[in-house]
Amino acid sequence: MSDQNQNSSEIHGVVGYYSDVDGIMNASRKIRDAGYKKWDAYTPFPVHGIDEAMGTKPTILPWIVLGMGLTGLCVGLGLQWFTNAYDYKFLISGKPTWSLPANIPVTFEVIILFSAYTAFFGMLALNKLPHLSNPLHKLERFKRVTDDKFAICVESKDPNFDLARVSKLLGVGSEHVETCPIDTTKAALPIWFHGVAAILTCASFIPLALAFKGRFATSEKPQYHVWPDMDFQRKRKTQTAWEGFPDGRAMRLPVAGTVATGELRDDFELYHGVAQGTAVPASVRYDAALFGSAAGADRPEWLAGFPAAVVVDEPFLERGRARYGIYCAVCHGNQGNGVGAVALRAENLDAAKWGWVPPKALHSDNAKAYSNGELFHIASNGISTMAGYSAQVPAKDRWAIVAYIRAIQATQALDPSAAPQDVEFQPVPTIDSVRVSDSGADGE
Amino acid sequence: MNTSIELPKRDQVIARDLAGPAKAGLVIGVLALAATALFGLGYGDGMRHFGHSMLVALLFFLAITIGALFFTVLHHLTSAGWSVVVRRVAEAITGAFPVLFLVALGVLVIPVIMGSSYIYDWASHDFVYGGGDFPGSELIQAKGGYFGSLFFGARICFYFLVWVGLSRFFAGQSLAQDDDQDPSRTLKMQHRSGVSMVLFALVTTFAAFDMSMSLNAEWFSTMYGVYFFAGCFWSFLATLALATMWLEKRGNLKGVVSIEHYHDIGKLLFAFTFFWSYVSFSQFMLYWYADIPEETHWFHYRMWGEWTNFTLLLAAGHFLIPMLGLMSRHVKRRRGVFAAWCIYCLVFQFIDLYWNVMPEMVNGVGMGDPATTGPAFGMIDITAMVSVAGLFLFGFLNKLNGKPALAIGDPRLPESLAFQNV
Repeated sequence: MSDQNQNSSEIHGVVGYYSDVDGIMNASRKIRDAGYKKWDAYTPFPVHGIDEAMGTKPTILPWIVLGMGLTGLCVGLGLQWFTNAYDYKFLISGKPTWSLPANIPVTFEVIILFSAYTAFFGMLALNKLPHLSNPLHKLERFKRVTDDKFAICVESKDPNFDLARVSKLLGVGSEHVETCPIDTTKAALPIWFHGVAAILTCASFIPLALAFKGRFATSEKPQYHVWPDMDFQRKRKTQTAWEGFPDGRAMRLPVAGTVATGELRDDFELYHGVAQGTAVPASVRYDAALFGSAAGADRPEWLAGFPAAVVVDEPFLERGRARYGIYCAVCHGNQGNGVGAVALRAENLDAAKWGWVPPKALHSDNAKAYSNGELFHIASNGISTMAGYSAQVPAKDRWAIVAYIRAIQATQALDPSAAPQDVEFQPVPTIDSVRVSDSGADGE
Repeated sequence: MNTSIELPKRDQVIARDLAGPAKAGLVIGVLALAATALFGLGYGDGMRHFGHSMLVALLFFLAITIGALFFTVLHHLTSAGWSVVVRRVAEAITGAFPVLFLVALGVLVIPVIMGSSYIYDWASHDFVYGGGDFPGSELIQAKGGYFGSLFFGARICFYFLVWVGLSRFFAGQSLAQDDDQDPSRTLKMQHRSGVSMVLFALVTTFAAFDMSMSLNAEWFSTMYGVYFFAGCFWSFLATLALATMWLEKRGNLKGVVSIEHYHDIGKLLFAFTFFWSYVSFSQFMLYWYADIPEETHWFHYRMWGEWTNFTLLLAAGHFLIPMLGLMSRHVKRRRGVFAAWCIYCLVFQFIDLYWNVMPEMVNGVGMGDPATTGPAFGMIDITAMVSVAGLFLFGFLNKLNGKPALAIGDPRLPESLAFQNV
């Protein structure tokens, strides 16, 4: 190769080769002191101290990492503040929604995440990597640099580049000096690379497309279970059958002779409507043998008054009126006349043909004849097609309703003429008076 | 590679004339111990303040010595190269174990065996089982099998036996290698370093449980051992840098230790600043989250009451300030600045141990409430530190006296001498 004949515009640079670390260190110092900027040293292994010999400035990467670490600090804290303390306040383990001890681990992780990625990708970017090609790779001799030789290349792009001077500088202590021509080979990627890249690019859209489809498409097929052991746990749910126990039930009954907390109902008056210590009627819907004058010797000792646990006063009656309005009036009507919205609807649908029993007027003689205990039992357990309300209404509230029914009955017994004369008195309607007749519905 | 490394000659690195300073340390230590005892009598609290001040001082210098042993074992375990030039300093520091053992015997073991509860509440029968002014503690009763005075004494003796044994083995092999330059000694130490490290970890963990955590015997933390260890290595690294600078100034390590080695010590010091914070926060956060009274009470009287500001000082001074301060490479590569940070770290290691030990002085048998009492720093704490410092220096310098301050026979010495940070 006729090194010295080439024009400096046609060459990439000049390369000097050295056999040991001392050689390249000395040459580096010379090039550094000569004020060149566009040059680099190539070694088969990291050489300590070459930064100083090359005059490389300290990297700014630590500052970038520090900045991104502080960014991570703010992002980590901000994320937790926004998600848990501002946008969707969520109480976890009774801790404050915004609390530093709980936030530190996540903040720490975000700082590490940001710093580590910045350090890694920042290092690549500052080193201008990935760098796929270099004209030096064309030199046969340069391949030894990956094994046992050391090289320095001063590029012709350097403003101070002078072929003769650089060659002389590099020549001191070197094994060989040569020029490196500009790489004129066509920079084209192999054809298979395009195919593989196209396939991989298309494939990368598949998960996104599947997720998008999943948002809108419906399917007859069962759901795909990513974690089957979580979706199908080895446990029995409540109220299901299981052959594992002799009685075939997955749930266990309370241990015999025990009472769950809050379930001790030893106040017979309050919970069963009978005198304390007497036989308790079964919690079943109206049993004629237990009620009224027709009942036989099994008739419980129904409570005539109210349990000792309740105080019948104005707030209690007001409570009863409110509960009555919520639970009872929809069938029995606001006035207790048996003309509630459901009763009206059922009447107009002729629901009796399906076995519907219309709600009774609560001020009828029949209803008046019941003792308080009997009314309480009916409110609790139901009668004919009426369901019991013991599940929805607590015992004391049921007694408040009984008290309110007694108030309705009492007001119905008043003489209308005793009412204030300046108020227009309207008789309480009955179910017959409000029935929508087939003929006169439109005219009235 | 660079062939221009000159191995230092044996005569240059021998640390001569240390018998005088060692003797001075012994005398000062004994005198300060007597002064501390007199101060303690003056308090009229059954020597309770004396006991706790001495415990802080003992733990402070024991921590440095434990850190030195860890550094030595770790050096062989990882087959490290750079640290050969400073390893002899660490080996010499482990020479303080025997004298610290005597302090532990006198301050901890013998009083406990004689039935005194002046440091440890669990040593008081009334405090544990009820009687006198104490209602008794079921939580300590449940651990009754562990807290027996003879068993405690035997355990402390066992810990020191292991520490002394390990340090004598590694220092002994290293000194013998100075003379015969036998590389097989390095291999022998490497082979034994694994089991040594396991033994070291167990012993150090339980020593932290017994000597410091059991001050409040109702409390428990499985992380306490590693928490104590974090402080051990942290304070040792600061001590190592200062001791090496001192030996360099004396001429024993001149031209041997370079700024590169301090830079590496600084990197470890920075890392263990964070390690301490990581461990102590992990310990705190688990208790904070579970919020179980028998676990949180230890933190409660430290964080709410007269100790609040002290706790904040510890968090800022042991974590935030040194972490930012030691981050820069320029700090670690300037001897003077780095030495200042090393002293700073030692101060905060003292504050950490003070924070661990001192609230327990008025707690329990002390019949007081730490939350309303607060720190009571006095001359007695200074004399206690001076006392154990003198004894520690005696052990350290006595070990080093007349011997090379450098592991001159280590086959990796050239590598360490040529060490450079990238």
